[in-house]
Amino acid sequence: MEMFMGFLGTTGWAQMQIGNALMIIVGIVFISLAIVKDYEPLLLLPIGFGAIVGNIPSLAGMPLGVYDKGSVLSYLYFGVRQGVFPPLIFLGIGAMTDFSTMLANPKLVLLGAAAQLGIFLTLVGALFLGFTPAEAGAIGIIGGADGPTSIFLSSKLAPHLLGAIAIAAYSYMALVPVIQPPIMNLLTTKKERQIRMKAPRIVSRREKIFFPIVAFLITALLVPGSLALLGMLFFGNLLKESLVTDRLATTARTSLIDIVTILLGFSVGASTQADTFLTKQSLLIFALGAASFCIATAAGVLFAKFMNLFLKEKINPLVGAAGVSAVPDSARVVQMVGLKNDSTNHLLMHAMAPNVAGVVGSAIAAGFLWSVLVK
Amino acid sequence: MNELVFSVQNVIDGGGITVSVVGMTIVFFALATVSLVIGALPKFLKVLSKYMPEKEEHNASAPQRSSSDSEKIAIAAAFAFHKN
Repeated sequence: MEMFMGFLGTTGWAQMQIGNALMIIVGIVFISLAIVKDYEPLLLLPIGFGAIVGNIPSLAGMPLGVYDKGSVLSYLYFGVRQGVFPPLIFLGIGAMTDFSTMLANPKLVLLGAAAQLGIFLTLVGALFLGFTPAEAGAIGIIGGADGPTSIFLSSKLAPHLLGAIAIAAYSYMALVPVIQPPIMNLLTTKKERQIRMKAPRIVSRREKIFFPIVAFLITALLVPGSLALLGMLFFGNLLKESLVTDRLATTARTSLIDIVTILLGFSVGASTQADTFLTKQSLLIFALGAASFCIATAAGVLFAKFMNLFLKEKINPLVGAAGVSAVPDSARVVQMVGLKNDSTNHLLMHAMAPNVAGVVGSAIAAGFLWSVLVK
Repeated sequence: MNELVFSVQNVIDGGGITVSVVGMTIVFFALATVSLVIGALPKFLKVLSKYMPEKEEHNASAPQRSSSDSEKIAIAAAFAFHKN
């Protein structure tokens, strides 16, 4: 009987704190959003279930959680903690990305740069709120709207904030269809939203092969901190475009990225243990993350309008909103908003150019912040 | 981070403005360079194709090996293995 009573004291029920219960509810909400609303299901479902797993209270002395040395979950979390998973995700993204629209209309690349303003203004905001420069840099990268990049940089600059930053980044990425349209409508006139863009030209195979090599050399030589992310992104793209490594490209964009996504999503979710996650800092990170998405969207749209002052062939300013990475969701949002204003104006192809440029831009920003803020 | 103190002084002390201005400049410079290179790439490739026509590229004009070819190879290998 004594042993039974002792065992009852070790159950999760007996040790459950209000914070754990709250995080389990958050996990269930994530799973519901993934299944019912179809919001980023490939990420929110693993993260949601991981959050439930991570918040089952464990017995002292039993290595179970991601932060317990020697636990199974800590080995899974290794890939997050050391920034191993994000470059592997980038390899898969590279192997599935078609840069043709960007190659056909290179000026749209600048929209991907403009949208990175969200990162740097959020950094200023985070500093104002009292975060250290390294923490502010890790928080600012949420504005890049790129989950793997956010995880990569926060693992390097502020590992203690990784859970909150990752959850904020992926939550807002899932909410792109909700966050972006009001800003896009607010900053543009109906006439601007109806601007038609010329169909992109056909890009030769040689251009597609040269691009990942040349773009990697330019970006990595300028910002070596982005080497791991951009190296894998462009390597994956070369596997795809060379046409001689079909098997490798297929593996990178299917099995490999799926496996890494499962491990990354689940272990990030499991890292949201109530005692480390439910803090004032996390709430501020969520607020800053929302602000950074809004700023990034606005910066992209406004810069497109600015470019139109000098261009003969006008850009539909809606495509500027796709500069916030979040591939391909923000490009889809541009298409959706464009169609609402003109049911025959398809902007998806045009929006993909700043969208993929945004991925490169946020990786460059991450590399820069890492190099100047690391201690 | 132990305590949160909201202050503009934090931004100044942390070099926030400098980091942001330099960061945005570098991102713009990198992507503008990529944009310029992409813009010049067709011209460069046009010159290159005079000396190395694209049709002669490895695998560019080579017929894709069909699955039936793979099957034939597999059958031939199995037959050779069986004979020995």
